[in-house]
Amino acid sequence: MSSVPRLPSVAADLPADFGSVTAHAAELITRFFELYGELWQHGVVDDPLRELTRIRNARITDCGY
Amino acid sequence: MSGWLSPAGGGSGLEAVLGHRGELQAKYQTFLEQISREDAVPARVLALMRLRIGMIHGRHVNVSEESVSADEVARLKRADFTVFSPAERAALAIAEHIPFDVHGITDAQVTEVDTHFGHRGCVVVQVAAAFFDVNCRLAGVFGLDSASLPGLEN
Repeated sequence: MSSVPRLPSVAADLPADFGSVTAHAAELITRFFELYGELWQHGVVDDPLRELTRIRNARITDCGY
Repeated sequence: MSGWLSPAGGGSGLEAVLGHRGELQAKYQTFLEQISREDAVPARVLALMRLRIGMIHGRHVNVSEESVSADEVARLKRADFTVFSPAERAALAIAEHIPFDVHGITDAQVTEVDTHFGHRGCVVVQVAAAFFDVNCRLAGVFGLDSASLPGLEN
C-alpha cells in the first residue's frame, strides 16, 4: 500500500491529503461531502455507534483514515 | 432474490430499499449522478467499470447496449480486457482491484489512469470505482440481485 500521495494537492500551498487531492474534482467531492454530512448528522443511529462502526471498518480494511 | 428488507413506499430494488432513509438516499443519488456528469471520464469507461465491479460481486448492473456490446460484456466476464483501449484498460485495472484488493492498486496503475484522464479524471475514476463497489455491497447486504440505481444506466 502506498503511503505517499499519488496525486498532488490541487493548490500548491496545501499539502496533499484527502481533501486537497480529491478537490481536483471539486463538484464531485462537494456532492460527496453533502452525502457524508447527511450520513453523520442525521438519522436514528447514534454518534457513538456510527463512530464505532467507522473505526471497526477502518481496522478491517486497513484504512489509515 | 427479492431481498429481506421491504421497499419503502412500494417500488423495488436498491432505490426502494434505500428509501427508508429518504434524505440519505436523495443525497446518495445526487452524488452518484454527479459521477455520471463528470466529463473528465467518458461515460463508456464508467459503464465498463460498473459492469466489471458488478460481475466481481455477482450483482447485476444495467448498462445500455449502446455503451457496451454483448461481446464486450462476455469478455469482461472472463476478465479479457484485450479489446479495450489503453485508457479503458487503465480504468478497468482499478476496477479489478477495488472490490477485494484495494491495497493491491499500484502507483503505476494510478499513474496510468492519471496519464489518460488527468488529475480530475483520476479522482473521478477512483471515487467512481469505490462507489460502484459500495452499490454492490449495499445490494449484497440487502439481499438484492441488482446493484442498479436510476441515473446510472449509461
